[in-house]
Amino acid sequence: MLVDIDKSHHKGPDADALIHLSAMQEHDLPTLYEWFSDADEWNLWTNIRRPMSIEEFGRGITQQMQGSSIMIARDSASQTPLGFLQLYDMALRDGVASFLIYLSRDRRSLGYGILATVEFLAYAFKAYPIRKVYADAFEFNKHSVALLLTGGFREVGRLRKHIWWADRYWDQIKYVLLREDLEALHNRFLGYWGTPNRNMPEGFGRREAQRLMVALVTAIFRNGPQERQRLDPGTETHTEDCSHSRCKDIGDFSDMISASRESYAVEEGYPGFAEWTYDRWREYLVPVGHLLHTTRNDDGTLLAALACRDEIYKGEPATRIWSWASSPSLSSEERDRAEMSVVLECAAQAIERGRSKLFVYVQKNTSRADRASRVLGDSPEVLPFAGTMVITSDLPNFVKRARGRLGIETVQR
Amino acid sequence: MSDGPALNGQMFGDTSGSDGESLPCTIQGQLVRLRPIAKIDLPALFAWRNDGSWPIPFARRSDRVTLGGLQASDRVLDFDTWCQTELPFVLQSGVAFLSELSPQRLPLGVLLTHTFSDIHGWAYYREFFPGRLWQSMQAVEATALCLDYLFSRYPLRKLYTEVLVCDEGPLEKLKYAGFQEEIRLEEDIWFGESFRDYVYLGLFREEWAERRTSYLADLASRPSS
Repeated sequence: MLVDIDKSHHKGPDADALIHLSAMQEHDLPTLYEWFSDADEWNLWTNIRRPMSIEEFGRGITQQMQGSSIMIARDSASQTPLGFLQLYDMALRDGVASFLIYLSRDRRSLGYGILATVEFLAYAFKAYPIRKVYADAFEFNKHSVALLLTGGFREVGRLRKHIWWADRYWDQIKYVLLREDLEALHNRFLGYWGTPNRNMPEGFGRREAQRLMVALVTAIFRNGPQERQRLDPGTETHTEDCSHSRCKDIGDFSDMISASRESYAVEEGYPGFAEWTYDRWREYLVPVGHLLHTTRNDDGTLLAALACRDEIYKGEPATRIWSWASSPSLSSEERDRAEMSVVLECAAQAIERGRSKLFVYVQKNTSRADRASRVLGDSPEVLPFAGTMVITSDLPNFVKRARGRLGIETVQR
Repeated sequence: MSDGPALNGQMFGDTSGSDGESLPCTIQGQLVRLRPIAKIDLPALFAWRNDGSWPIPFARRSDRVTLGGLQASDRVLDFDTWCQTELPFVLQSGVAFLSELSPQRLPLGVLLTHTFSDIHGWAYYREFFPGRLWQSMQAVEATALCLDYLFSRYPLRKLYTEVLVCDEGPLEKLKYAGFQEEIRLEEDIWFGESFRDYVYLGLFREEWAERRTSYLADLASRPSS
């Protein structure tokens, strides 16, 4: 039996998040029924073609809740259901289960699906001793296929011409996501927010982490114009006439990127960057709680900038470069030098805060990846999703190397 | 993901004490015959199911064959419980044949289908021959008889089967009949001392039609064993 919990009592630690997951309630049933009885859509998630009454649907869902793990993704501000997530076919002795997600139409292609997926699977891998999760998608369901691939799932095969829809038989594709793949994805997009009381930058919370993830995901996987509403704005606001030096730095950083956003999108391998407005850049480049470092020439012109935050990387205290760019008007050598200079400042201060590693995520086969490898000097580790790799650097070694390359004398203390 | 069984598999014919001669739906081959499962067969089926070795006659994973909410057939069951729970599910969810040597009438193995989908035109197929009987010519013929029957009797486009990769002989036997590997789940199921790969195989009607002639020719050219 579904329990109806008064919404006013449903304020948990996730209340400030952009979205959160919670149990399905009695009052969710009409929304779910509306989703799952949409004749234009039910071919996307089942091979059953028979319409059901809401009573029959409710009985089916209640029965499914006995043998699977079902959660509803909600907009934290309004508590509106955004999607339905389910872990089913749980063969715990074998350490495997299957995953299903349904996202309401108005929330698709905005990053919410991957956010809900990462949130849900992080919970699933924590709650159950599973080694891997499978997911199925029908060949014609392009949204699901894109979401699963974005979420780090790998195709393991397809049942040939398995399902009839419209005018022909289509393949059913099976995907798998390993526990370690999910961990890598979680670290990539949400960073260290999962353990919010440890090493969290001041003012940086779950909502901000989710907002950045959604922005980043839509930038990476962008392949068409944004049709629906834009994402939540950032929590740190700046005005263009602000005299605070941090605000000026952020303004100059945003100016530099925004003016060359198309080439920046290519350099980074994030197609969506090309469409971002100036305001969006301001909200993205230096999120709340992040440290900003800049390098300027003698006349004060910004040459390079980066924003970083402290996290744990593979058990070590580290600092993570969040955004990082140099002026496109410089030559390639000058850009390498300017970026090394700004990373050096970042690294020196990180060491003083007790950090031992520096890391940055980049898209492979991009000029950003090439430059990051040249500047940081370490071999990248390729992650199992989205053409992403992580480049790490040991901070003391980097500082020593960078000082040598920049011709800065090391002062013996 | 099934839209429900299309067939009511036969339960038992009136066979108590009979040799099965009068059973309907008996398919006679050169070396074997297929007939509906009779009550007299149940002790043999139960022994095959419970001998503790892999594979067992029936599909294992609960997600692929739901046994009315029961965990799949790796459970230890007593004979009476098995007759009341797993067996009816197996017999009612599709077509179930016992293959027996002809003319000796010794049981050779079982061939089953389940999870018929009328909308999408497929069903699941499973065969089991205990010990090393899978490599006998009789088992090879039994497979052909069953596939011929299924594709001629029902408007099936395709049959699926699922096998543990470490069960090499029966897997090769299915591939020999024309089944093609479609999905391989690596390190999927615990067996023995490690996780083993699990594969889904599919056979379209036209693939069997193409394979059938040479399959039967091979069979005819070999001495029975």
